[in-house]
Amino acid sequence: MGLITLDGPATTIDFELPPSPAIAPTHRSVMRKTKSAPPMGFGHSVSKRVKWTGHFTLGLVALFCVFPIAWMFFTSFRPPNDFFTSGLIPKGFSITNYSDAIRGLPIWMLLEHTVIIAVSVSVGSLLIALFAAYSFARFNFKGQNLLFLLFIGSWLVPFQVTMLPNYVMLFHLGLLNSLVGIIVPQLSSAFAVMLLRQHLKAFPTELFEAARLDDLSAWKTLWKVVVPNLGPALAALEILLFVSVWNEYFWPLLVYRTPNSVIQLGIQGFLNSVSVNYGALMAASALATLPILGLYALLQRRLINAFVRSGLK
Amino acid sequence: MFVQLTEQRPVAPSLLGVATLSKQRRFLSFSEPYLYLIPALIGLGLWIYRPLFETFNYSFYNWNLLPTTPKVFVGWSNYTKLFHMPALWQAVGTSEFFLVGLLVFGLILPLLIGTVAQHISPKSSKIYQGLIFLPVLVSPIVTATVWEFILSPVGGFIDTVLKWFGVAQINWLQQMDTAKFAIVTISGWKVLGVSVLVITAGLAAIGVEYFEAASIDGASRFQIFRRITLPLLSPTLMFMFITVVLLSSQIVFPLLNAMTQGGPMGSTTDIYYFLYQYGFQSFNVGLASAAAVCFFFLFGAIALVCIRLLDRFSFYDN
Repeated sequence: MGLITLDGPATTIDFELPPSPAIAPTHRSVMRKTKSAPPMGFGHSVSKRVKWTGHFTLGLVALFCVFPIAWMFFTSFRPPNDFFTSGLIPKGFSITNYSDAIRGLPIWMLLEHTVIIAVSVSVGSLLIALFAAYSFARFNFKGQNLLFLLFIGSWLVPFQVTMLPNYVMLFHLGLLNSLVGIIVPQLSSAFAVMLLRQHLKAFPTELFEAARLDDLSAWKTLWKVVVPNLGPALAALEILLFVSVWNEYFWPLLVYRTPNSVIQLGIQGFLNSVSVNYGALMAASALATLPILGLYALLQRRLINAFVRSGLK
Repeated sequence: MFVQLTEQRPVAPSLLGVATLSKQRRFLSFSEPYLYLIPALIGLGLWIYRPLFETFNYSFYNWNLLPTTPKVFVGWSNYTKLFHMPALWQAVGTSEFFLVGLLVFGLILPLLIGTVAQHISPKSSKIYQGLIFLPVLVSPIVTATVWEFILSPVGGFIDTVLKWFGVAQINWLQQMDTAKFAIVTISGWKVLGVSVLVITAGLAAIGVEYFEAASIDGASRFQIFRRITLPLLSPTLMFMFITVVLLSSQIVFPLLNAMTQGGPMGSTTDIYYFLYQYGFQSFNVGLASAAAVCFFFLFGAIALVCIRLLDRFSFYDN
């Protein structure tokens, strides 16, 4: 195990070995086991007091986590500057903040740019990662371990270490202030490669062998055997990548030094303007968050699993 | 032999054809794995490893990022300059502060939450976890915006509530002592969701039998936590520790840029924000690169030590 040994379920993903058994099928089986038995084995001995302390603590933490988001939506529907005059209790309901935000920001253009970037980066890096992971999982070749080490090693290179040279490179390529300049450097995701490789390693080898017996080329095997069977994993990863690109703002900030590029930068420009219109700002923030929360509502479990596997990124 | 050869001559073209075909095939099957890897490798080389070496290179030059000014070779002087800067050591101190703060949110609090969650039904614990996870999805900019509004000294939520209790206006983000805590709390707010999930997953992976056996033997709740939960959970805890150490600056960074710009008086400037300021605001590329090289090796060393430790702790992993 660890960084040096390279075979088996190695390395970065390997850090996750402790938690992953619980995320993967085992988790459900544990849950199922505990459903018939008392929860986590404490059941009989759990007094009402302990139970309510649990609900109280968790409720408090959940409130701390949800409150700012709820407050954002709540404020966005109040009449403008209502919170200055009438405190915490709103005087009425209004969507003026939204029309202010739409007037103050080129919001459709920002959303269009953000969607273009998020879709091309997430689809592009998913494809690139799929090819790379397939290569690692399906073939045995010279330098395999060394190349894989390159992927893991990139995990240790923080963004801030590479940003200056990458900026200079984009300047020389003439890609500053362009969407392409934002998209291209984000296309290679070592994390996606490692996650997909892990999934492919768990792939039943019989399927590969059957494909070989059918004289299916590796390329056709990828599309006719691997992709259809990897659907859920690919979908989860795609969403994860989409969300992280949607929320990314620092790289666009460096490349596109105006607030008129992506939605996150637009909001920041709004935030740093001389007189902050908090109502409109909350409305704009709500608009930028809504698509992500919508995805979460639709695909909660998958998204959570993908996030846990990725660590914190 | 000769006869055979002459006999084969008419057949030779086709044989040759087969030979080249198999050669082509062999070449294809030899190169195929590399072909699949090429796109990813190009990206990795171009945007991770090339700039990494470039950064090493820049750290020995004086340069102001302008393509028209030449780079001047200065040897190790960027490094000596760097180590004599009080601002660097202040930034290191701030990073340590952020790290410790985030370990509370990434390790201690989730451990408490996870242990408490063991005592309520899995179904309601899932609901709480789903809610605690929400901040993870909120972008750093929206996070900064919303919290800045909540902390705003004029009409912000906290200000309004404190006013009820007669507490005077506090400008949370503009005071040296409170700004640091505000940043840690807000980053903690974003981290908590993932760490709670990872740690509850780790707890769920511990067999129920252990807890049952211990409580039958009359172990107290604290004894169970100390003697069973902690040792069996140590690989998960170690994993979270590494993740927080490696990623704490990455989480804090956008918040710093959006909320405090490293201020007031540099009190929230951590090492990466220091690097960013020297690179993109003072345009001292050499110094920023020297700092980047140092931080890269520092975190690399920490990561290696942690992985070693993880190996040792994984003893418990069955």
